[in-house]
Amino acid sequence: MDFLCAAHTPAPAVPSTAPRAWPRVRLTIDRDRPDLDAFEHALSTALAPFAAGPDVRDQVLLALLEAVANALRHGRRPGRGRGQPVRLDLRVSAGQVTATVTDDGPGFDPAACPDPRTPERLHLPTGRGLLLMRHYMDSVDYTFPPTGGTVLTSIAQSSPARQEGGETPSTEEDP
Amino acid sequence: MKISSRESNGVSILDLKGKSTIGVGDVALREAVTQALEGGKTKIILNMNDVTLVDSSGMGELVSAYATTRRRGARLVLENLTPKGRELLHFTQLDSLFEVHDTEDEALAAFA
Repeated sequence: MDFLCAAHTPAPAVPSTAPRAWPRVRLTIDRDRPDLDAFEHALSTALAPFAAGPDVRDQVLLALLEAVANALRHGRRPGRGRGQPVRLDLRVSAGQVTATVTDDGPGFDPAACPDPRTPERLHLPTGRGLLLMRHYMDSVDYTFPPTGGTVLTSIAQSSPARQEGGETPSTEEDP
Repeated sequence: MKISSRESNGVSILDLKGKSTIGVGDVALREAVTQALEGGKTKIILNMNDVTLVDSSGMGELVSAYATTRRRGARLVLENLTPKGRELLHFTQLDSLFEVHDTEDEALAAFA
């Protein structure tokens, strides 16, 4: 069994007291000349309303940068020249971050992602991005529209434990 | 990431500062470890005290540094990890790969 590919329970509904019209932010990053520092700065600014501790906000930042980095690496459809920019759409409230990362790549099978923690993969320098995302976010789900591309939707919530102690949800049990 | 090097009792200590993320710091760590190895160092400590952020690329660089030192018959250990760094190593199970010490005194003693 591959824990990375386990289905995730959808995050609980947002409390009814939460504002309905969350600020929406769209960030794009050029595939061919990505300025990751500028993107990180813009993302960090966009996450400011998220009322979690600074450690947790850093973890969400890191997870979303992983998602964007994956899209930059893999999200180009073969045979196309200059790729479309990778898009990150954010809705940020005090209680929740909802992020959607969209690229025009060929897609992939999340169920085929190997666990980087197995003895045979532990020594490899790559393959931990999705693991980090799943660890730091409350949900990570991929969809593949019929028109092509990959859409990642990920949610993080600022639970009381996270706000107080910067704790992260535990990773699923080892396979 | 900024990296400075010093030496203590024949052990090369690399002080890492900043973040090790995609596009940032990747080459710096690789170059610093390679330089130490090419300088004949066989005992290397990575001081992680001032490392603020590590993503999967940064972890990959750590794993590569570990592999490179092993391949050359050298030994690499980590010291002064922050609680966040320890948690990161734990959930990725890289703590079973790396030798980790709480303090520099402990890390140096391990090489004695």
